[in-house]
Amino acid sequence: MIDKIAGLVNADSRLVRRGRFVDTTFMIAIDDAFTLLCIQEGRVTKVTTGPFITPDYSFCLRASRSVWEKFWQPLPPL
Amino acid sequence: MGKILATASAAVAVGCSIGRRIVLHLAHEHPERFRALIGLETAAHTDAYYDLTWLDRPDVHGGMVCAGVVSGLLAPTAPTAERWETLWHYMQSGPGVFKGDLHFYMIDGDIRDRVDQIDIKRCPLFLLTGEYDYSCTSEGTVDVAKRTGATATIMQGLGHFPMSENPEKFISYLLPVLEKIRALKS
Repeated sequence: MIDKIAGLVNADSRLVRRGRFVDTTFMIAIDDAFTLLCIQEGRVTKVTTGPFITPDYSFCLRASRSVWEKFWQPLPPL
Repeated sequence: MGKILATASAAVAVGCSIGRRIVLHLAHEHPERFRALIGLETAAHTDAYYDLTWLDRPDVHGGMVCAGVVSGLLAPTAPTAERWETLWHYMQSGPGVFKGDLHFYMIDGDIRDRVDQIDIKRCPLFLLTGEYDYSCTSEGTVDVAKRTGATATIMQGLGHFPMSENPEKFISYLLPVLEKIRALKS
């Protein structure tokens, strides 16, 4: 999913419009695999995979791989 | 309201969300006035699970934030047009209106201490709740059903706004309830 995330977000015009004032870098942690996502005006402009020594980010979303995989299903379970 | 109550004895009232809380109050205070009552998304009480102060302040767009607060309550399977129409409803109100509504929803309308006094023999009560509703949960509905004897149905594939987020699916749950009410007495 991480390798597709920029294309999926940037192709979603409603999401990009909703995030048009968002400029930040945040981290996604899947188990101990870390990725930094740079957002500019609601678009994902850079995806950088770790490991990092001193990463700079505004917030981090952490979960195990099994949880992310459930969440990323087209219709996540209740 | 008094005029409506005076003439409503043959009527069935349906209320959703804040409206279903009013339905519970009607069931408690005016059961003889209605043929039956139907609560959509029913719980006796809802704890504040978000910060209401964002809903009414001059530096935040009220319409956008009101829609944002409720957007997660729709089922992920809601059709796109109906989803956005539902959110559009929440973008319409004037400053502070939705915040006031939620004050009733969470504080003034709390009926936990009187739910046990509702007598469904005086007025049949039916509860329909969408499975994706985390504001009025299925557990909250089952609790009201247990305490009152009301009939509860959990609606698959629906969220907090069944009548507007997916009318076609909702009517498949509502019509059987109306048929039951018709069969109860003429």
